Amino acid sequence: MEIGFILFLALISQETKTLKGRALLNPDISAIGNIVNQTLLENKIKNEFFIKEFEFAFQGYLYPSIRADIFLTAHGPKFGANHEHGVEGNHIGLDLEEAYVSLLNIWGGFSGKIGRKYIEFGKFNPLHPEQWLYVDPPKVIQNMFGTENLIGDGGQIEFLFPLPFLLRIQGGIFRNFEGPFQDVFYSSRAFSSFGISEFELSFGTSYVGGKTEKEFANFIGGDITLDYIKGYTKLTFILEPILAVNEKSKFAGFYSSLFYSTRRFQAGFRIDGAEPHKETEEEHTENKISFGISPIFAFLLTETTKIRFQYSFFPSEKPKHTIFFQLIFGLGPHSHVLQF
Amino acid sequence: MRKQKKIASLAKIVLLNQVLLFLFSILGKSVGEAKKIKVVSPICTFADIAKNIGGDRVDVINLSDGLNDPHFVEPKPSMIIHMINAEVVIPIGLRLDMWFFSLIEKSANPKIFEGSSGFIRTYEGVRILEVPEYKIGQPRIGDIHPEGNPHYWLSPDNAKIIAMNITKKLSEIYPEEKGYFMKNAEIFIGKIDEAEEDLKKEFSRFEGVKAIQYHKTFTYFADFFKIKIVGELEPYPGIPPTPSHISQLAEKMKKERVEIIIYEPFRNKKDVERLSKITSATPTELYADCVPQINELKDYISLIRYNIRKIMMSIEGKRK
Repeated sequence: MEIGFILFLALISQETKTLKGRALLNPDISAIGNIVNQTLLENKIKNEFFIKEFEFAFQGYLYPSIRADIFLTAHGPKFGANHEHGVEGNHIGLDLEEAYVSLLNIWGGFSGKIGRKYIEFGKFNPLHPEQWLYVDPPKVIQNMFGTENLIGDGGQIEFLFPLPFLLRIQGGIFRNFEGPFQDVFYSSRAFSSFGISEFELSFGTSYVGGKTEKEFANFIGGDITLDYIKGYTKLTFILEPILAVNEKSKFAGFYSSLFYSTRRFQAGFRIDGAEPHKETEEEHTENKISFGISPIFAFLLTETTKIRFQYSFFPSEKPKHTIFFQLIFGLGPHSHVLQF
Repeated sequence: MRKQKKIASLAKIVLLNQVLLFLFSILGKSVGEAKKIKVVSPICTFADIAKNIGGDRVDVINLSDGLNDPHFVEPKPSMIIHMINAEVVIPIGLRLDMWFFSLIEKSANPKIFEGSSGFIRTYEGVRILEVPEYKIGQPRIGDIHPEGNPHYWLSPDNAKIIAMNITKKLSEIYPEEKGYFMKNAEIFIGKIDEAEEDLKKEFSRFEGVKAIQYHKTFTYFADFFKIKIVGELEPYPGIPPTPSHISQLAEKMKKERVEIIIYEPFRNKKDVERLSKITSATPTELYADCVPQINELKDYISLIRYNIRKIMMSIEGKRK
């Protein structure tokens, strides 16, 4: 046995070169398509078909502890925008959606990110549209930020506490790229998670604040997520309330969802409750929360291709009924991060 | 007065002691306990190999096992805690366990980043099979692993290479324990040799048996035990079988006289049963990773033994 072992050692000490260097030096390049059909049911039926987004990702390491992620997006109109006439309806614009460098370890549990990125506010805002559990963003996000995702240019620093459970805090300073702020705004988030057997319970609190066109606005959010994961079976509950405290007014909203997923399909619903975003002071006298419910069903055709159906019912809005159909597909390594 | 001072200084010492104990407990270190090397593995097999090499010097955690598809383990935020404390990680690589790499990135632990001292490249020295070579115009469909088939640990020969890669790296990081690790590696490789010899002898009369696999999971295993893989139920990796693919495959299986269909427990059994009904090939559920809570599959050697015996039982049952 000993001679065999020595021969074996000699054999594996001659390193076999199995990979070609050039291929390894290339960044990971991926593309994700997100196509939506939206049918609005009011007095008459209005159907809209649009390319929601085509995302191109370039990702790789600059150094073992430094990586770069660039996401270029050819995007269609935003949900809730008027698609009927003019430029907003049909134009597909190219944007640098995110481009940032991650310093995976600065010192002793500190890490950071610099560049343009989705602000890590709550559970929903940091996600790319192809990662959403829903076809459209929750009403509270659209009403609060006036956009689907709050995006900024700047940097953030994070700290992971050396505790027996996960506790991470972060703070950042950004210039507005997409969102309600005029220029500079500040962000912070604390996030904690506990795993107990098949359950995972996570809590988060988030803050963003900065000067908008009229006043200094503060947005405070909380989020609770409970996951039950056993093999391919997954049950996910999310609750995310957000409060906007401005100099002259306050308004609030939330969304909550419950989903059951298996390997091939996912079924669930989202409940929305949000006060409308009002521009004038008089409008704030009437703070009526609009509620809505959206049953959602998704089917995974392949590991990186899925179709999703969503019906949204908002009794106090126009239109009351909306039916969505969505097709998402991914090519390349980034497509692996598609969340189901 | 002197007594009061004494009590006060004693209280200070007790308080200081409690603060220190609290700090130690927070940092997960208890006084007097020998420090173990913390190793995190994405799968049970690598954890088992690391335990065999590291013995009582290591504390190994595996984040998944043979009941889960290693491509798609849901990375839970609480798993990051294991990464924060890890000194060594043993990823599969070849773009199979991308979820494990995302946990490494989130850990802010420089010891375990790719290229760092605590990152073990387990497949170094392994002959990677099915490295795709494309010609212009050839379709590239499915979940292709551009660096080749990543299920390399299912060949016992490769398990020995993995064991040596772990030994080499642990010895580099902890040179004072090199002799201990080398001795354990020798014992472990000896155990694999013994199991290999037994199983090859037992299986020799079935060599050349033809099989269909669901996904390209058992390519290395089949290559080692001389099982001829005729095709896959998935038309392309990660793409579920279509009725037309199943009927084409059935034709091929009849021609080639395929006797077994091998698949893992998390695959769609209906597809396997449908194909089995048409072809009368025996569905044979195998595991691609050990499962600590199942005695027959508790470690790597048990896993290989279980798989080869399950195949033998299926063929014997069919040939009766």
